[in-house]
Amino acid sequence: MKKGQVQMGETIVILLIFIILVGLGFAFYARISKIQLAQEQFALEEQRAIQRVQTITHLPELLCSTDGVIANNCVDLYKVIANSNEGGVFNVNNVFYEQLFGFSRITLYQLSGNTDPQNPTTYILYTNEKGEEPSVFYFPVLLHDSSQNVNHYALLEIKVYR
Amino acid sequence: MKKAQMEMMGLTIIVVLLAFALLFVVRFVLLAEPDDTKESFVESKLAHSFVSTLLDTTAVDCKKFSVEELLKDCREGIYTDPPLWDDDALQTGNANGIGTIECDGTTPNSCTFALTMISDILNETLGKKLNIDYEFILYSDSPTCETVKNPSNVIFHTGPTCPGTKKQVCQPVPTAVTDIQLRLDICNRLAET
Repeated sequence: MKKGQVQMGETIVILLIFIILVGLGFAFYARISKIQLAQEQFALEEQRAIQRVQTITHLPELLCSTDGVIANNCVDLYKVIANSNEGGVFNVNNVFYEQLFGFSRITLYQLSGNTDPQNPTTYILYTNEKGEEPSVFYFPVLLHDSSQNVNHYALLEIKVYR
Repeated sequence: MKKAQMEMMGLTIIVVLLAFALLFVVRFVLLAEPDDTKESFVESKLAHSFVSTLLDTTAVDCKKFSVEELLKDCREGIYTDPPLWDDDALQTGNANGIGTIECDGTTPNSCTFALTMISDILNETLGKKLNIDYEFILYSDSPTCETVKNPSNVIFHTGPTCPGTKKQVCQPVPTAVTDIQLRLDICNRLAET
């Protein structure tokens, strides 16, 4: 084999190795980008879920108020009872509330003042479950019974589906 | 410099550059801290809401006093150095006979009633429902709650001692004797492992 042919062979091998290295680098970069994209998507979904949770916890349809002044961390028992049945505002106007809540499930557990402490009274306020792995948020709230003028301790459970 | 040495030098530079690139990727992409938007939002809101909601809860079986009113009566009934009660002490009735409010109409038991309510609610919510480790301390005589690691004058303690605290909330309650502090620590699970 002549010297020129050997040099040509060397060049071809070097080029091949270079192309393989560039290919590997590109594959690695694509994989990393995919991971980053998934992380960003997850963060965005979490933020959207938090946005929905904020909306739900500040709904005038649930909050208790005295002389027009809204109390902090408080939901009205009678609004909850009215809205948790079939004819409740959330179920009747589900087209409107679907835009606000998306795919989610809102449940309220009354944890004090129950006749049977082992079985807390449960109010299902809204159900529109679709999708997988919901983000679950819990918030303690006061459940105000205006007829008895007492505050029960309650836990608001909000499951937001992605 | 000979040709072979030059080639060796070139190879070394390429290897060093590749190693740096790899280190960079590992540091900023693979070891990047996961997004904790939800966690930080939940912790900050959860801990604050727990304590404030607890204080405003009505003890329906105790003449409709709020937990805050019962705690005030409890503290004002402790004349000597505050005792240290835990869940066992409440069950054995060690906290009875203090204060003026008689929930059952026979013995003053505002301490037992309020502290049992707090303990039960925390256990039911943070413990069972949310599966979060927590430590709750009620103590008196310390105006700077956040800076006190091991407070003295502890009146009530429930939950395991946190090895590392993630979120701490302090809520002072003024009484006729001294302020009492309610401190809720949400434990950091990473510190335990």
